[in-house]
Amino acid sequence: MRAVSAYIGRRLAIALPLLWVVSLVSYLLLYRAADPVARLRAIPGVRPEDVARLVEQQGLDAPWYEGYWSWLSGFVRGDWGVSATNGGAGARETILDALPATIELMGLALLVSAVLAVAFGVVSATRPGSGTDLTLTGVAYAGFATPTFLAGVLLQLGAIWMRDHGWAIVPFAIGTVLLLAGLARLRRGGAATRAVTAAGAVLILLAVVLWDRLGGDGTTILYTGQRFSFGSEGDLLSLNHLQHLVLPVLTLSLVNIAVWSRFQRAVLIDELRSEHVAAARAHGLSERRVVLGHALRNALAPVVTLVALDLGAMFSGAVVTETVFSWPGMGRLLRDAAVDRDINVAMGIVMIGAVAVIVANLIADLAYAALDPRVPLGGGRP
Amino acid sequence: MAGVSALLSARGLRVAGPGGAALVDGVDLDLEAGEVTALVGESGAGKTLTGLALLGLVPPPARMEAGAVTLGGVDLGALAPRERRRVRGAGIALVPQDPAAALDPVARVGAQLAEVLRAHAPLGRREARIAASAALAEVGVDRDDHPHRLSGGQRQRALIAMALAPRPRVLVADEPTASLDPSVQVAVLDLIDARRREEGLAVLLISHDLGAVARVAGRVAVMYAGRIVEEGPARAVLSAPRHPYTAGLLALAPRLGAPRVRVPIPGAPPQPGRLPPGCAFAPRCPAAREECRAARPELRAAGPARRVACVLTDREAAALGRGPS
Repeated sequence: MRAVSAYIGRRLAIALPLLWVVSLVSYLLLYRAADPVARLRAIPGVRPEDVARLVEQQGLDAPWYEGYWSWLSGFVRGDWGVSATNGGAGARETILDALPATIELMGLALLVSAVLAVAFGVVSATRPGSGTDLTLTGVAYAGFATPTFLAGVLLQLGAIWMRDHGWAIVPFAIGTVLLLAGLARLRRGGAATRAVTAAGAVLILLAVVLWDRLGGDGTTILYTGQRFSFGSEGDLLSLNHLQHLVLPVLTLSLVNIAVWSRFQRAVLIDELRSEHVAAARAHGLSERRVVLGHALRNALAPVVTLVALDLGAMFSGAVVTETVFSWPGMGRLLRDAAVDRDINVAMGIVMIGAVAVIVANLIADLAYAALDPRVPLGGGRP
Repeated sequence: MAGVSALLSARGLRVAGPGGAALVDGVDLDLEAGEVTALVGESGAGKTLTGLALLGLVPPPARMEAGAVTLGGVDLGALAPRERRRVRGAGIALVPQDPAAALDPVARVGAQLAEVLRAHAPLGRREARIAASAALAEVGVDRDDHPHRLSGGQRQRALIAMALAPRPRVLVADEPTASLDPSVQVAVLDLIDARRREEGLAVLLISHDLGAVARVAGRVAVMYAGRIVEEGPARAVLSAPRHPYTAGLLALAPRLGAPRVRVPIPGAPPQPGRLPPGCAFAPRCPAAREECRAARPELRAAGPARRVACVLTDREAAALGRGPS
């Protein structure tokens, strides 16, 4: 246990200089990007003396190293500066207001994509070359090839179109057929049958959700991010709120499901060919125990690492997703801050993202060591 | 041929590779309770595949094309997959070839053994864990160790304990001593032999090691290019081989007092699917003649409980064993 905490301490100590480099590079990029007040000057009716006051107040006329130094010394003291756009509110307060929405979106998307990717990977790997495997492969490549913004827009358009045409009947019909077919074979069928049944149930649920909106007034509910705050009374788990989450979470999950399920499939196929899996079969273990208890347990460690490494990329995905769905989170805030040259807000978000990626990588390494006893923490003997 | 009383009997086992070439071709085997039968031959002769075919676990892309295996009179081929699975481990157990790779690297050995026990008996977690610890303690392995912390000998003993834990009636031990120190080899063989004596375990010992075979085997079957070429009581086969291939193998075996220079069998075993038309061993055989290349000799009775697939007479074979010098 002490070795683990010493390891964590060592890793966090190494992270500090890394964070400093991230802050310096980000500051230079943001500072050099453009004149922060150019847009203000272009707006008719904005008085030059107001612009000058803003420049004065924010220290925008100072050279970059002075600006960086004042930002850095403030940041480590907890003073993240003033937002240039949010009515003069503090940058930190502005960011922290948006943070829960992003945690909610990314957390759910992480859960959904990890669970589905592992499930699809297992289904594919246990029957390589089968129709199910080829279908999942095709879907994965399509998901991989579709940029997040396009996927988001397409899903929105689809939802709007189905609402306008009352075509919730489409997923309902497909779902019913799948569910009935699945239930008819459930007793004898394998994992594929269960997957079909589950897919049918999900489609019916989706249709009901759509249908619920058909006569209602909240017609934009599926495709915009009218998010409820964490604090407001019990709204977080309301149907309304969950409906808002469906498409953004799906959009953000698509690429991850595609990549991770491919990776899970490849790693698991290798593992299923290993000697110890053959030995487990020879000992008379059931195929289920062999696949899930031995092969998958061995094949999870590399996937966990990939998932953690992908968290940074997932935040980029969240920036796009939140922008497309008007999701009031940190990603959309970062995009707005970048467009509006709100350097303090942008820097704060970049730093939060950097810390999150570093922590995620640390967790991945700890998880790898926990999943595979042969892997020593920090290169020492186990 | 032991006849109808055999505990396990295999008839006409045929395993084909991806191209359709026969890797195991028409093998018959009878394993008696309380007897060790050794299956010897060079690498690639089909020994391991024969063992796996008994378990119904021929690894793809190879596949079992023909043959029947009966255990205690039950035709295993007629069982439903679920029942066939239960026979593995509890009826016929396997000690796999490579102890370094045959244990799950991420699970403790105690948990792995307990899992095997629970697959074959209605045990609770606790009972299974206690039984597993006891079985491992017997062979000197700590149940809380992960496989990578164990020595080669410990791994092999843990695997044997795992194979023997569900009290199988037949054990297929694939090269159980191949990667071990000589002192450990003896301990591992004794472990298996004790079970044979006490419980009447039938053992198929797959081995290169004729020393180990001579030590524990009651019967010997010699495989060459996917077929059994000679079979009989171990003492008789090892002291007076009837097939030139067996004689060649014996000449290679290290023995106290034997000349240090050993003569290898010339040439290499044929590739599966490219067998010569007659006897597969003819191109390498010192006594091959015209008739050997014309037609493949079938296994025929040759003395008490012995069979051989060779055209040589007793006298000719005996002369061969003494060598030309």
